[in-house]
Amino acid sequence: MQKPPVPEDEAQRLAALEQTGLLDTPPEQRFDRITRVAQSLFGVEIVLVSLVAESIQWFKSRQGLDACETGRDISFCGHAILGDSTLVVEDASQDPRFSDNPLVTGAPFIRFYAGAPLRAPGGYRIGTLCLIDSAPRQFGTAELALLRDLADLVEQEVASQDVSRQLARAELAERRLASVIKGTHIGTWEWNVQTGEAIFNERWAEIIGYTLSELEPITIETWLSRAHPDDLKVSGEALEEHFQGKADYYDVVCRMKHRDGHWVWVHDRGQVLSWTEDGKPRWMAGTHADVTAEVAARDALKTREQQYRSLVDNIPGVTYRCLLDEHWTMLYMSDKVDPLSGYPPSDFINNAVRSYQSVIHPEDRAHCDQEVNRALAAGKPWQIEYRVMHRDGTVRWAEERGSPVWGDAGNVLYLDGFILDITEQKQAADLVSYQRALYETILEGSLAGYWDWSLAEGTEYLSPTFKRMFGYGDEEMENSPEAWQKIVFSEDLPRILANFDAHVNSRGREPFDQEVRYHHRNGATVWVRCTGRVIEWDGEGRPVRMVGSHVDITQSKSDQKLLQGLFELSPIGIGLNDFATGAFVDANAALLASAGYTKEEFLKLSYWQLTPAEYEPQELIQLESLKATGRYGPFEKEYIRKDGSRYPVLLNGMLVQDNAGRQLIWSIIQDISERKRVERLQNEFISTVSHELRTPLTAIRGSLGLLQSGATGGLPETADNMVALAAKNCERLSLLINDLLDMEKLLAGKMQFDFEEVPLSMLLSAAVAETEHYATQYGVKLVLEQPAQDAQVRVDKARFQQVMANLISNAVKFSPPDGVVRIAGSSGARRVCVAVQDQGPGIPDVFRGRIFQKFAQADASDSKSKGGTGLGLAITKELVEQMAGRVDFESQPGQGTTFFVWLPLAGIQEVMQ
Amino acid sequence: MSELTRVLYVEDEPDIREVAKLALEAVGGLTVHVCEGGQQALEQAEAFAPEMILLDVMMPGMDGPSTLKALRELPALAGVPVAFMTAKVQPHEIEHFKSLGAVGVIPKPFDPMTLADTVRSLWSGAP
Repeated sequence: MQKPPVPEDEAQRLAALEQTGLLDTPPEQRFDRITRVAQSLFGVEIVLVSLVAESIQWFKSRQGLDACETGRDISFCGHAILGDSTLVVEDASQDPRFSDNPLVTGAPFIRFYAGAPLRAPGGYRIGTLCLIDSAPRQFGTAELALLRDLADLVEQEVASQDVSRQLARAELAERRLASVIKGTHIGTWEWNVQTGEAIFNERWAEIIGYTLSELEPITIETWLSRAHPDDLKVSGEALEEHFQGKADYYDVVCRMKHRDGHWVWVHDRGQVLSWTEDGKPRWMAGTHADVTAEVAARDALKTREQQYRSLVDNIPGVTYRCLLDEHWTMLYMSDKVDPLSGYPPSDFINNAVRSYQSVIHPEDRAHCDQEVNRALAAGKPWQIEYRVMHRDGTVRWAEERGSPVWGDAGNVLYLDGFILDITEQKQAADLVSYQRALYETILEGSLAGYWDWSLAEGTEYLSPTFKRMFGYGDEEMENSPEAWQKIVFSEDLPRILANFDAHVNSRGREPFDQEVRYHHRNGATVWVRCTGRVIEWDGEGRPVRMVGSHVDITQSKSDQKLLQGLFELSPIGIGLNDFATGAFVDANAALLASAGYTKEEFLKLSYWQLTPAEYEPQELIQLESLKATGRYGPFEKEYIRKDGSRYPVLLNGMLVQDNAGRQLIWSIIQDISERKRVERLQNEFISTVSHELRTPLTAIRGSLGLLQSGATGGLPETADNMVALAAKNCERLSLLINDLLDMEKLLAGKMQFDFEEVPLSMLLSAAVAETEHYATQYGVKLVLEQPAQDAQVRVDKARFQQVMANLISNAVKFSPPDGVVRIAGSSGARRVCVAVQDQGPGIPDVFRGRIFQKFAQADASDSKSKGGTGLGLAITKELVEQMAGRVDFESQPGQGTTFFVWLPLAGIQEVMQ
Repeated sequence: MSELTRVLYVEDEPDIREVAKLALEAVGGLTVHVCEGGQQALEQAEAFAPEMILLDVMMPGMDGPSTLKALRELPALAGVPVAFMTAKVQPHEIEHFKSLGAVGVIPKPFDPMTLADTVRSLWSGAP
């Protein structure tokens, strides 16, 4: 048997066959009619319209055969399609190509076969119209022609089948397209690239808010004029690429101006449909889709995405997923757990190294469990604060928010949450509440109120004392700036606000410090000193937080009035000066009266203008003292009156600060004109007395002396005695006056001392020499014992001689006749000692305490016999002490007396007690 | 050197003036011209032509130092030694008087018996 060979154009042939759309379709009358006609016309058993497909032949129409198909390899038709002419096999059993063919040897026992090829459009032979019979037969030319005619009819039917199919397809496609265009609201356009002619559909116009008729006449300009200028460039480039074949489509998203003025985003897509002969684009068609919503959605999505990303990136806390077990076994944990705990998340996940529970502060664990379980029971999320023990040993505060993820069975699958490191906030908050508590403790003690104003939030904490000051309980006054503004004196409010502005504008350099009045609940006025400062500023220099205190100064205000009264009424001058400039800030009436100025004039002056230039050095010394100790004086100087005259003042004062921190000097400026006058009078009195008393005495003594000398001639003996008596008493009176004046001067501090350094030995020799004559009169011997080692002493020679004369004359007077008075000097490391020792009766015990007092003589009767004024030892003591020395005595009744004078060595600064 | 003979004594107190004059003349053998005050001294001094002048310090009108100053203005008397007689005899006061041009100070009350000797010794010590 011979298999039919495959024709050379098999692929195209199969495509043409497929194109007919006949394969596997039901039988049709138009084909069956032809095969029935052929069956009866030719009188054959079987007539088929057989289509030769790739591996089978399939019968579109068949007469006399039940099978629809047979294999191509055993087909007769496979041979028939190889040529244009009809294949005739008169007896297959005799034909070597078919004799062993199963269709020949078996049913339907083919002997006769005649097949005319069927050509599809394009000339491809797709099958045959064939006649088959089981008896061999002859097939003549006429019969061949008849069969060809019938085959042509079949070909015609095949061709018509193709046309109707295409028509149906086209209709379907158009319907589909129309519905798609309508359904998708697509605008369409056609454009003659060469002429600019354009055709748009209604939707095209609608997208930008017009009807098509409103846009007439429509040209490409209609589009160009409404496209966004920025997008024309993109559009032009896309078009050029498409024209050059670089892009299959022209495809851009561009903006068009809507009739209302807004921009509409349009997805513009098109393709060249036809070209000119010289290869330029001619017609182009495409679509417009309104994608404004999509673009907006995309933009929104992009924004949201960015927001989310930045949110996630910036989450400062730890996100986690864990199991509800005692360890809080972590399934997931973000990296941020590292800074919080000091351990990486991998440590915690599945409790690889440690459990999260293990880093929670032991004291907080139970609380955490409890809170989470409570939240779970209530079906709510939880928020807990606890401490985390960081690897570095510190303790961190964590705030955790979490919620459970429930399984279908109502069980907790796991817990999801978020842990924030709030250590800093916590510390800050702790600090704030700690500070607040501290301030309150301190301020409560001082009965001062405290306020803490959060300017950004508009809240203001007012301490209980603040409120109590005005008669309100803590609950009775809300914590807000409005609360105090309601009770402050309205006339004081502008001043407070101005001060606040100045404080803020100077960035806190200008102090906020005010004395303001409040209405007490009971109607009374409360004076308050309100001080404060901004303690927190934001990045733009605005105040964020301001704190301050309220001190009730109502009492001190009334004290102030009292003091003001004292100040004004004080008979002593009081002045207040600016430390920096010396300018008078205030002065009381007494000061003004002394200086002769009005207050107005005076407050324009500085104390320097009142001080004579020669006092400047002293003034500067006082200023130094003021700086060093905060006080100055007392010191005396003069002030210049308005009329240019001077008056003496005694000044002392202190440094103070006013509320604004300015340094001021309070001075008591005492006008001491009167005291000075009295002092002058006293001096004059002493001078006068000394002159007035001595003048007559000089005359008396001189006269008596002349009488006694006989210069005026001889006197009778009794008269001579009288004159001697008068002379002796005159002498005593003279001494008494001298002593009185000395005493007066000593006590008044008017005694002048002319100190010089002299050897002790020289002083003693002089003292003995001066008193020797006197001692001789009493028959007393003076014995001088010079110091073993001589020493320099710093004394007033004359005053020292006065001391020695007093002591020696006393010793002589109380010595028995032929007695010895011993004068002994000695020197030590720091001082010298002079002893005057007599052999007299000694000093009675009862008198010892009074011996250095004025006019104290042991025995009143003695004074007469011994002579003396009773002032000698008092003066001696004063003189010695004013020369930095000390005097004392030793005496035993009946065994004499020794007086000692100690004096410091020259160069030793010490006062002996 | 010649002997001191002529002494001008200026003293406002008549009793003292009397005693001193007597002491200087009777005891000391000096020729004494007394004046009651500075003004009188200025008027009479040149005529008397003293070799030594004694001035009381405290006097009404012109006091001792003023008188000294005025006398010094008189060319004839410019070189005559002057001593003060005063109760103010503290050392610094003595220095003060000397600084005014006095040769010395004679303290009051004075001893009439030695007054002339004191005056003579001051005169002798004068430059």
